[in-house]
Amino acid sequence: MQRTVLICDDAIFMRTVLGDILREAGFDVVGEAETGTEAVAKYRELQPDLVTMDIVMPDMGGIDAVREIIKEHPKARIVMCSAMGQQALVVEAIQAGARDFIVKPFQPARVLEAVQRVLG
Amino acid sequence: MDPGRYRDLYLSETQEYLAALNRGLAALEVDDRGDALDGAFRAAHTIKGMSATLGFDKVAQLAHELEDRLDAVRTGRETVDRALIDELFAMADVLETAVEAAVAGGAVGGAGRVGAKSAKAVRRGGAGRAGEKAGRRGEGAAADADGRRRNGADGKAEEPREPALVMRVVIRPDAPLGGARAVLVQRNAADVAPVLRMEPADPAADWSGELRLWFPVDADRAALERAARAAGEVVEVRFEGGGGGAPERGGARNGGRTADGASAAEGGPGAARSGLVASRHVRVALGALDDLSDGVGELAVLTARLREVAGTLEGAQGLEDLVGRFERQVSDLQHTVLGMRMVPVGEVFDRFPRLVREAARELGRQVDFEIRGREIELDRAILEQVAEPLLHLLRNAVDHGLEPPAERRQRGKPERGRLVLEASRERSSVVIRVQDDGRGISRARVAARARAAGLLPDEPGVELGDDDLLRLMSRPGFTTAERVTEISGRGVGLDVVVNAIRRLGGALEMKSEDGRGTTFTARLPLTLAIAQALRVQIAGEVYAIPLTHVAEAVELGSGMVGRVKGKEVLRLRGEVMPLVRLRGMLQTGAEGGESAAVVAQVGERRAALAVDRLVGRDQILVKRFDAPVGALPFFSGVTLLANGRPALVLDPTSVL
Repeated sequence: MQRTVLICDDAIFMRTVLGDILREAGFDVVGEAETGTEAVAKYRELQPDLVTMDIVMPDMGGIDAVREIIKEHPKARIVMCSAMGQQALVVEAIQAGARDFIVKPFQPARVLEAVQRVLG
Repeated sequence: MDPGRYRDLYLSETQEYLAALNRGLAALEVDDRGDALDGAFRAAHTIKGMSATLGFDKVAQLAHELEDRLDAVRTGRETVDRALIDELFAMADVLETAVEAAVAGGAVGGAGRVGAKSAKAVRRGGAGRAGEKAGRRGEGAAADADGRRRNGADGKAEEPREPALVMRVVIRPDAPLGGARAVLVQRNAADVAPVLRMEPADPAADWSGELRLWFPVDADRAALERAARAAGEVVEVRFEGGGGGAPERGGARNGGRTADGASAAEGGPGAARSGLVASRHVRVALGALDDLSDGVGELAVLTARLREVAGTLEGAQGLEDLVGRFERQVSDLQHTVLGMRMVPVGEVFDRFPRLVREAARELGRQVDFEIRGREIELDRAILEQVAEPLLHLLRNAVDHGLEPPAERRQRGKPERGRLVLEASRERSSVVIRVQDDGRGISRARVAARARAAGLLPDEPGVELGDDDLLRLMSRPGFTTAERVTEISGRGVGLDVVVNAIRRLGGALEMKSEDGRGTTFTARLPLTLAIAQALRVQIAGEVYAIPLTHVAEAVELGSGMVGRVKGKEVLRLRGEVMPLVRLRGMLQTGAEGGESAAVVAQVGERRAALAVDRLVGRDQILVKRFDAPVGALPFFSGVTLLANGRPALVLDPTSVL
C-alpha cells in the first residue's frame, strides 16, 4: 500500500521539490500545508503516515506544530526540514517529538533515507 | 623543505588566535572575568608559543607581555577599566602588526627552527601545535591547560561510580547538524534504557563527531545499538566498559584516535583549548579545496551525462543500478566537499567589534554593537570577500547613520546608538543585515542631488522608494559628488559594496526610515562552487537560473498575464507583479508562446521572468566570467549542462 505524506512548508518551491522526491519514490502526497496551524488541522483530517515539517513558517512555526500534533497523536511520524545553522531549533523539535530531520538543500538520497528510517 | 609552507600555517592560525584575542578583549568590556578573559589569555599564550618556535622572538615577546597583563587581570592584580581595555587593544594591534612583519621578513629564522622539528609534528597539528610544545616548555604559563584539566577531573568526580555500560556512537563526520543527530541518538537510546550520563553533555553546542552514553550495566546492548543506528548517519557503535566505572578519558582517546591520544599525551593546550575538536582537524590550502570542489562538480556533470547515455542503451543489465549508486556516491561526495568549505561567519564577524569601537571613538559616537547568528555557515571564499563590504557598511553606519549623543538626546533617543550585524539562513541563501537606529537617509536630499546630477527627471513630488534610493546612491558618479557627508552620506563607496556583493552572486537591499534608522541586507549564495539552479529554455537555448533569488516557478495559465498601465504583469494568487519576457530582454527571439515564468525575488521586489518552458532543476558548477561589470548585464557566469553543452547563467537580480 502506498504510504501517505503531508508536506508542510511555506514555500511552494520547497513543497514542490520535496513532493517530487517523495512521489518519485512511490509515496502518495495527500496534502500540503503552508502554516503551522494548517499543518495541525490537515494532520487531524488526513492522519498521514508521515509529515515533513519546515521549521520556520508564518502563523504557527513548525516546532509548535509538532507539539500540537504530538499532543493529539503521540505516534505521529514527523521529519523536520531544517537549514544549516538551525541546530538548536532542530534539537528543540526532536525534544518536542520529531522523529528525524533533513537539511536543506535537500538531496533526494538523504531525504529518502530519513523517511525510510522513520517509517522503519 | 619549503619554509613558506610553515609561514602560511603560522599566519593563518595566528590570525584565528588574534581574532579570538580581539573577541576576548571586546567581551571584557561587558564581562570582566570568566570566559572572555580566559579566551584572550589562551590566545596570547598560544601565539607566544607558535612565534617562539618559528624564531619570531619579537612577536613572542609582545605576546608574552600581553599574556602577563591578562594574567594580572585574571588574578585580580589589575582591575578592568576603559583605559586598561584600550591599552590591551593597542597591545593586540602591535602584536598583529608584528606577526605580519615577521611573516613578511622572517623566512630564514622560521625555516631553521621548524626544520629542526620533525615534519610529522607539523603534519599532525600544524605549526601551531608544534609551537605550543616549544613555547610552554619550562614555563609556568601552562596553567590554562592544567586548569582546564583540573576542571575535567572535577567533572569526573560527579561521574557515576557504579558499574556502567558505555556506548560510543560515531556519527558520519559530514552529516549535517551532527549535534542534532546526536540528540536523536540519545532520545532513541533513552527508550531502551535510562541514560545515566552523556558526553558531550550538550551535543548541539559542543559537537566533535562522537557521543558517549552511559547506561546501567545490564542494559540490552543489541537493542541499544539498534536504537542508536535508527537515528541515522551513524557509522560506528561500540560498547566500552561494562564492568568498572566510567572509563578514563585518556583511555578512550587512545582507543579511538591516535592523533588525539598523541596530543593529549603531550598535554598541548591545543587539545585542552577545545577538547577533541582541535585535534580532529587538518589544515588544507583553500586552493586545493577549490580544485577539489571543481573536480567533484565536473564529476557530477559527467555522472548526469552517464545517466543520459545509459538511458539510451537497452539490454545493459545492471547498468541502471550501477549509475544510480554512482550518482549517490558523487552526490554524497559533493555534499562533503561543500561542507568542508563552510565556516561560521563568526570567524570574520568577530573582527568587527573592535573596529566599530574604534570608529565610534574617533567620531565621538556611542555605540552598542551586537552580533547575531555567528554560527551561520558560509563558504569561506564568500565570507572572506564579503568582509570588506560589511566593514564598509558598519563604518558608514557609525559615521553617517548614528547621530552624535547630543543630537540623539535632542531627538528623544537613547544616547547610545544601536548597531546590529546579523546573519541568518533564508531559503538557499545566507542573509547578512547591518542595522542601525540612526537618522536614516533623507530622501529629499538624495532626490535633489540626483536631479542636479541629471539622474532623475525634474518632476517634484515623486516619492523615492528604498530601492530607487539605493540605486541612486550606488551610482559611481553619485559617490564622488560633494554630497557625501552632508546628506547623511550613505553613498560613501556604496557602489563598491553593491558590486562586491553582486560579484559573489548576491544582492544588496536597503530600507531606510527618516529619523529611525537604516538597514542594509546582503543576500548571498551559500557557496561559490555549486549552485542549485533551474534550467529554462528561451528561444531554443537552455539557460540556468540560480535558485538564490528564485521564489518559485509557475506554468502560465490562461488569465494569469494581464496589463497594468500598459505594462505586462503576472497575476499570481491575488498578487500582481511585473512580467518580463526574457526572449525580448535577451533579444533572442520574438515574444509570445512562453509557457512558464520564474518568479525572481530580491527583498520585497518580485518580478516574473517569462520563459518558453521549464526544463528541470540541477546542481550546477558556475564559472564566473572575468568581464568588466556591465559588459554582460544579464549573466553572472557560464556552466556545463548534463548533455555536456555550455549554458549561460542568468542573474535574476539584473532584471529587478
